[in-house]
Amino acid sequence: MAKKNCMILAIDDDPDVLNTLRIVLEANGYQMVEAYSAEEGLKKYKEKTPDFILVDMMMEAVDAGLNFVREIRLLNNKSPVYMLSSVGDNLNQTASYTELGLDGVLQKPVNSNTLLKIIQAKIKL
Amino acid sequence: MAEIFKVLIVDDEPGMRSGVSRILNDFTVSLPDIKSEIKFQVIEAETAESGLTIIESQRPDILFLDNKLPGMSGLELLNIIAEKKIDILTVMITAYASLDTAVEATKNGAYDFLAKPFSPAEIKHMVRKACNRIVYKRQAKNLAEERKRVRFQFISVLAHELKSPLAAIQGYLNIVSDRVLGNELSVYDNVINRSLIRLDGMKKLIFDLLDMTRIESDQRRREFAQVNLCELAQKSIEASALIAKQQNIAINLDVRDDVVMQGDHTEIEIILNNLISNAVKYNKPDGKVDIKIAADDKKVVISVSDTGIGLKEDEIGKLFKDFVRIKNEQTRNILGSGLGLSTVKKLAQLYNGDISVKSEFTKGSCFTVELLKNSQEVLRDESSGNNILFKAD
Repeated sequence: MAKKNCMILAIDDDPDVLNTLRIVLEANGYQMVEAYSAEEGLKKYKEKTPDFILVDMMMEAVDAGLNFVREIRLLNNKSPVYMLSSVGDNLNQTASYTELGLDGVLQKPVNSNTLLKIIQAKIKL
Repeated sequence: MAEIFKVLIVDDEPGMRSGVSRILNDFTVSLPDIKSEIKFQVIEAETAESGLTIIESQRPDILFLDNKLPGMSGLELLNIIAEKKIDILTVMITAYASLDTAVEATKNGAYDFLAKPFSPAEIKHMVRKACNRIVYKRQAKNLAEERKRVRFQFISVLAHELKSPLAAIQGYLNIVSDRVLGNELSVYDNVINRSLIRLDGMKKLIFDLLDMTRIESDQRRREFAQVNLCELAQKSIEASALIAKQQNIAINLDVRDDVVMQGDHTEIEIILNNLISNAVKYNKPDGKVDIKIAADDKKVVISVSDTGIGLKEDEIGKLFKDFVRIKNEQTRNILGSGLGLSTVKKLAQLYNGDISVKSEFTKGSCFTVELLKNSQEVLRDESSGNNILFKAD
């Protein structure tokens, strides 16, 4: 898969977080589609079938991020999903990342090198 | 449905125990503060030692405790209860002459004492008093817990509101630091601009937060003076003029230049600033803001209407709460602390007034604040008892 055909879906309610991700991803040859809510994220997911998904944990509704992951997994989808979290947002301790169907958690602000490495490893260019 | 309070009587005289049991078994207490009636289940113990076992296993609410007991004394049991921090309301039963014991007992945590011999009416009276006390303590505890919960929630939301701009700015600075877009500085203009805007937003949040907590805690000394609303409104319009100009929004002010009220300058300014800046921020390009300030003998009515994005029915209900921001496509890029309107509401209430809103989604909103012209006088009258119309809180 060539990089430029690689579509990454980023979901966050903060326009600047999306903007930062877009700058980093596009500068490295990826395409990015954005969504501001879990609901919009699901819609975009169905439209664009992205290869990699980044979703914020704490959006308007507290569990929006986790619910999105559950919904995505119900669609029997295998795309890697990483959750964005900021300091102090604790994941529900009773559920492990893998149980939720998450591939991992990234702390905000996301280190661009780490992000790029993960994407590369996960979508196996 | 009745609530059952457990009463333990520790006394070595069987007659005393059965007497108390008999009296309380058909006794009912109803209190104005709770809906259900209180009935009693009496448990008897002959010694302090067996009483302690019952206290630990059955957790009675009220304890009638004789002092002179075989083995451990009543006062000794009272000490153990205090040491173990057991939540029980103790009434000492003492011989008529031994006032010393009673004093000693109250020092050690007993609620009250009852001197022997006592009548059924006396013990009923004591039990009623004890129930009142228990219910009051329970309510105070619930209130304290509720406060802690509200505080925790407030701090969590505040932390989230402060972390978001920090993360955004840090992300942008990382882009510059890593030269993600190359070495030319000008390509980072947008990134730097957005960082500065988020810093401004953060500063505004901190200011708003300080305003709000000062108002809430009464820490700020309120300086009452004659406030000219026309002058203040013009000042607030100037503060929003730059953004209004960028969006080509016209601001009209309709007020007689002699409208005055007794108020704290800063407080009235916060009200006007919030209303006017909101009307500009949530407007549309080429929109309009109409500010109308009217007054009669008693009150001042400030209404600010805009031709902006408007509100949905369900959004109006939560609008005046702390940290509420209406999030949708239109408001996404508008910065705000979510404290402005809740602060305006709190301020309006300080002037025996309130805030209300009428809005049509996508068409615009009109916020109306009513303030009493002489709220201080009302307060004074109130403390001298002449005015019960405007009761504080």
